[in-house]
Amino acid sequence: MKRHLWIILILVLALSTALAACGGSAKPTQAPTQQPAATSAPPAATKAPPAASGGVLRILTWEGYAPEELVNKFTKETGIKVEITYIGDNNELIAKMAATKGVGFDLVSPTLNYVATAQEQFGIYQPLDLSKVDKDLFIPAYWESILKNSEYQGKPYALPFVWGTTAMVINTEKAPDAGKSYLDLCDPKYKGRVSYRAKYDTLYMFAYALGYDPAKAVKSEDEYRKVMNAVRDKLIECKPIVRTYWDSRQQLEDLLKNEEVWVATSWDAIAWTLMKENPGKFKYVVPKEGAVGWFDTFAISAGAENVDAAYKWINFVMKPENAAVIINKTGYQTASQGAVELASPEMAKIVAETLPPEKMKTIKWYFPLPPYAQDIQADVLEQVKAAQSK
Amino acid sequence: MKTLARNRGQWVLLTFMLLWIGLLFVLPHLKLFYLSFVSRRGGEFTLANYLYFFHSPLYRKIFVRTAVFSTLVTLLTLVISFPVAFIITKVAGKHLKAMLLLAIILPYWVSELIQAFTWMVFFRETGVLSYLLRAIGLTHHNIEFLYHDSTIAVGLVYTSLLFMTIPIINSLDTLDDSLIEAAYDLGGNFWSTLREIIIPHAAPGMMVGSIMVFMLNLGNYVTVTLLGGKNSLWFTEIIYNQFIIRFNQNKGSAFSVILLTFSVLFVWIVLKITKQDLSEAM
Repeated sequence: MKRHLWIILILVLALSTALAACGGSAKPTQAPTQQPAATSAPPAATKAPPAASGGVLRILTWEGYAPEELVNKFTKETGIKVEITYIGDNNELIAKMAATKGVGFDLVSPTLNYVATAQEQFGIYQPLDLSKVDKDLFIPAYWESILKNSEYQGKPYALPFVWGTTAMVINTEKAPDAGKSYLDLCDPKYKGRVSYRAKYDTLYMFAYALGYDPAKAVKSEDEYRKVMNAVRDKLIECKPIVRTYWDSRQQLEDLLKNEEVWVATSWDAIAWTLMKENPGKFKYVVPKEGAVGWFDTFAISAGAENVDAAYKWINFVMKPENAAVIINKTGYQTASQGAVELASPEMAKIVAETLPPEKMKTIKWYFPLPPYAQDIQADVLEQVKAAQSK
Repeated sequence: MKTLARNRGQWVLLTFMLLWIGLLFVLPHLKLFYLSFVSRRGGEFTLANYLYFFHSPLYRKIFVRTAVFSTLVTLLTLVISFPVAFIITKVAGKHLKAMLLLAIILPYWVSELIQAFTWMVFFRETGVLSYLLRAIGLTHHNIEFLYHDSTIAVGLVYTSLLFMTIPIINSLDTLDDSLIEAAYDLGGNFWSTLREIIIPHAAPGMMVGSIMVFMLNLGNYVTVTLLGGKNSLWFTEIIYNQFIIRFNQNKGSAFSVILLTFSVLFVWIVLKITKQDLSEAM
């Protein structure tokens, strides 16, 4: 009998399962097993902070938001070690935090529109202690607006960090006229040369393009379902036009660089980086409906063990010379006062060209989602993905 | 059991095994089972999570698609693996045999995620395959091979080949070559020998391989979503959506239990039809 063959097989199976888990696939048994409480318990404020110097800071954030360069500098300055876990999705962030009521992470970077609703449902953050934050580091307009919009029961839960927009990117040689409206993503002229995400941002873009205001409609369940169903019908009608739904930054870049796709929705930073690398070939365009805007924040976990270090990190990262590193690395913009001036002038020029003040005024910011809205969006997206087309 | 009691070392091993199975397998599944029968708010007993599935034509459709597709891929893997296993055990010499085995195992040194990305480079419109076809003059345009059902099938067959081949090698190894010779001596040809001698002997291995491959395909997530493109919805993605996008652990658990029950039932039925015994097959 070939026993060693069986051993090899079992090892391979175990290994591939482990690797798949690392690779980001979700296994049902790994998902949160704790029932989220219907009413949020006040976060434990009695926990004694650990010794001021040293210790470990555990951050849950997006790729590029805590570059190695800054982490090393921070550890050198403060003696605090930094451990980073990356997330690719706000729901993933909330699911991770809700599983342990935030224990295991000190500092997180949720997108603004998810902060108050997640706090209401799962109680995963703690109120901010503004006395520990250096307010002068922030651009005042953002400071005011983010604190106000992250309030839950009268207390602010989030500080402004990084923001960006989602609109369209075009190949200026193959599709120079595209990008006037999001409905260009549905133009038979570009059949098979179009890509967008099968995610919420696409739903909002099409809703605005079809003349609805989803930010207003979301306040009523019936109204929101009506709007989203109209968007669904349009997306199913457009399915033969789209080549594939893109999922990751890398995938979109590949599709565009290989000229497999000419017209796509894109985060501004992806398009700007492409414009910088291939001058004249690509362009970030904001159609008449306006770009969709998002704001990522700093929030402190309800289960944080090193709160002091979290505030130290915030004050460190928001210093203009440090925030400039993030701008250069990711292409995103920050709420740090004076960082843009320190970042690359080349990038600043591209940004000013494609997102001038008059376009900034038309940005449609992400709106808070009640639980029923999450379900409606998921329903619609599943139906769109399940509809078969050539 | 008596010898077991006498042997302390075996008790230690047994404890580890029971802990392993209990903590990592039984306990999570019990929790999953429990969650699937309670309501999301309040936590009282309900069947609503299951009814939700059966009342949704969309979810039923995706479920059937996943099951049929997994079955087809399993059959395809079987057809490809059998000759490979036969060559390795009966045709190849000692050195070639080791080389071939290594060649089968080697791709599993990279994760499934990387394998899927490699297939994407190979199949995409501006990818390797399209380039080769143009180079030898078969076409003048680039052709998109990605984002079709057949691409998913290739990816799935590739990731599950090993799990079919090894069990078949295992069972063919015990087949005495003289039996094949005898079959030919008694007037059998290639097909009748294959049908009457080789396949019946290899059947337990084929069964085990098929069960493993079927389960792996049914529960696949990475390969399907990456290679599938716009029409790729797989049942695992629905479960993911319930847990992560909708924060609905209860429906997610119910869906997981449905998938689990179905795969166990399916295997049981196939075993009954082919008159195989699982313990014998293993």
